[in-house]
Amino acid sequence: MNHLPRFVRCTSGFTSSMLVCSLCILGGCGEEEIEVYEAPQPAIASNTAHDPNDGQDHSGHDHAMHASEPAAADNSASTISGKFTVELPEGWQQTQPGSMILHSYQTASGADVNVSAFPGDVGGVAANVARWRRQLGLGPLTQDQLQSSIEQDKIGPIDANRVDIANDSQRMVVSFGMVDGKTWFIKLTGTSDQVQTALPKFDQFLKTVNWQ
Amino acid sequence: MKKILKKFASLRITVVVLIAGMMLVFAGTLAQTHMPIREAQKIYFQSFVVPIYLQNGTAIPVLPGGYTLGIIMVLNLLCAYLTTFKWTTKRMGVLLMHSGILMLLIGQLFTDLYSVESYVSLDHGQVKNYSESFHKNELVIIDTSNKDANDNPKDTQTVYSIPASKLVTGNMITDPRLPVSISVKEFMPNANIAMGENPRPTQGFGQRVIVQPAPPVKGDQQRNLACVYVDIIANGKNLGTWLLSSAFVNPDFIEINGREYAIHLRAKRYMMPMTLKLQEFKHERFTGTNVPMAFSSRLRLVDPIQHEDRELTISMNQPLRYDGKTFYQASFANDDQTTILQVVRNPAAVLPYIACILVTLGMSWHFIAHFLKFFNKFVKQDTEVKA
Repeated sequence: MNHLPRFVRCTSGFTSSMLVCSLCILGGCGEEEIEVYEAPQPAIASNTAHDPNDGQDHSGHDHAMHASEPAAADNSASTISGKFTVELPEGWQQTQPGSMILHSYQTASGADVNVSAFPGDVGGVAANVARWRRQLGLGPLTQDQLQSSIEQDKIGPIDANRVDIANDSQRMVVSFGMVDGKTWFIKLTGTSDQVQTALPKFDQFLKTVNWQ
Repeated sequence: MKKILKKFASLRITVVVLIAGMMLVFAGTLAQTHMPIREAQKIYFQSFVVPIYLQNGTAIPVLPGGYTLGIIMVLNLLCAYLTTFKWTTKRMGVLLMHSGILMLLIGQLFTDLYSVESYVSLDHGQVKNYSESFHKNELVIIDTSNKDANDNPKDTQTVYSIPASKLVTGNMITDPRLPVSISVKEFMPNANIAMGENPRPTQGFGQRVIVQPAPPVKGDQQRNLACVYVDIIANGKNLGTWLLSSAFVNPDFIEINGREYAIHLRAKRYMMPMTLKLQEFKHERFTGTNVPMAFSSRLRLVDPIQHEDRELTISMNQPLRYDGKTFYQASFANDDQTTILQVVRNPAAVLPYIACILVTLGMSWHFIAHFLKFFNKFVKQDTEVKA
């Protein structure tokens, strides 16, 4: 190698060492380790509801109930959940939600309003309508009947569907729409009279819904 | 030694490696039609060999991977320089060009090894001082008591982060730094989730959620909903079984030795020294259409350590560079109420620029050297003709 310039001859050993090191680096990569670190609070206050992932106890509820409904598979969905906001119509009261319900209200007429959200389309519109009809003791609809029973609706800023199902005594009005991979259901249930009385304010309630 | 170097410097090796490289790129590109891009990259380009799997699960290597070809290419080039290259001023252009190509190869290797991509998703008015991984999860145990070991109040929360790669079914996770030991009963990389009574967990929200293992999602835009059943053991006592899922928005809470801990499976977080707040998100469309023209985020950046408190705008071609990371305007969601910023930390980001400069200089040198040679020859011939 005597024909090589002096600096190349001097550095060939170094070059070989670098290559060996590179191979060692390659071989040692990919192993993830347990980390312990101190997470500071953000340096600015937020305008929005709390980040549900921050591990902070903001709700004051019993700890066993802290975890909320599953979020959607969408990356941004976790920032949507928990930030459902709405203005309650006069005479309505917030009530304790059930295990699968995010928010529950009672209207002035005594009807119940439940808000829930689930990942995906929860089986699709036809399956959901069939389930609600079963709850009221009604049979399934044909495809044409199903299409005609679904009305266009709005839940706050989003486009939604509405179905109105009734038997002899009970009635159920459900508005449902998708926000970032999650289907939100807002359901008004009660006797026919209770639901009929509550409907105007239910429409007003839907207009004020937002996810902030 | 010289013989070995000469063998490695063979032009045949160069040709074989280049052909193998073309085949690899072709196969890797085709593979992206039936698997996610990141998966194809990992199998074809960020590997030493590309295997095919027989029906009985046996892996047979069919192609050298990107790392193997890269290493052979670098060795081949270096050996050629050490043995056959003529170190003259005229050849300096070729040397510069090859140095640039070497730097590109090495830069790509370092990018593969050390770059980290994540995202910050901000609703209007929301603040965050962390970014989240697109695909990696972590099981975190967070000491929410805001007290140090001596019960003195502190502003930070201690986070114990266990990478999801350690959540292997049957694994027992113990570490002297952790406040608990964790026995992994079953890990599901992806699952279908529905509300309903689940008898398997004895603690936490997971008792109300039914999970069914599902094959991992294929698309790059989708995220797996990882779930894990774990037993938590503290002070030698089994506290029960929890079902944790990256789909759960909120953590479960446990109390150990009078301290409250949040336990959660979530997207891996990367803490930032500064806090970002979304002031406004703008989504401009071409007039009369829904075709996006531009979108940008007006943010407030507060960094108490650097005494920074300023407003800035990140738009499609105007990223923010801060703390060694680049923040790109990547996407938006939620009826234009949420901005999604891609965060890239790449310590080798500058290498491709240097490589391009070297190649440009090399080509210029080479061109000028040849031009001068031709020009001198032309002048000489002209002089001879005139004479």
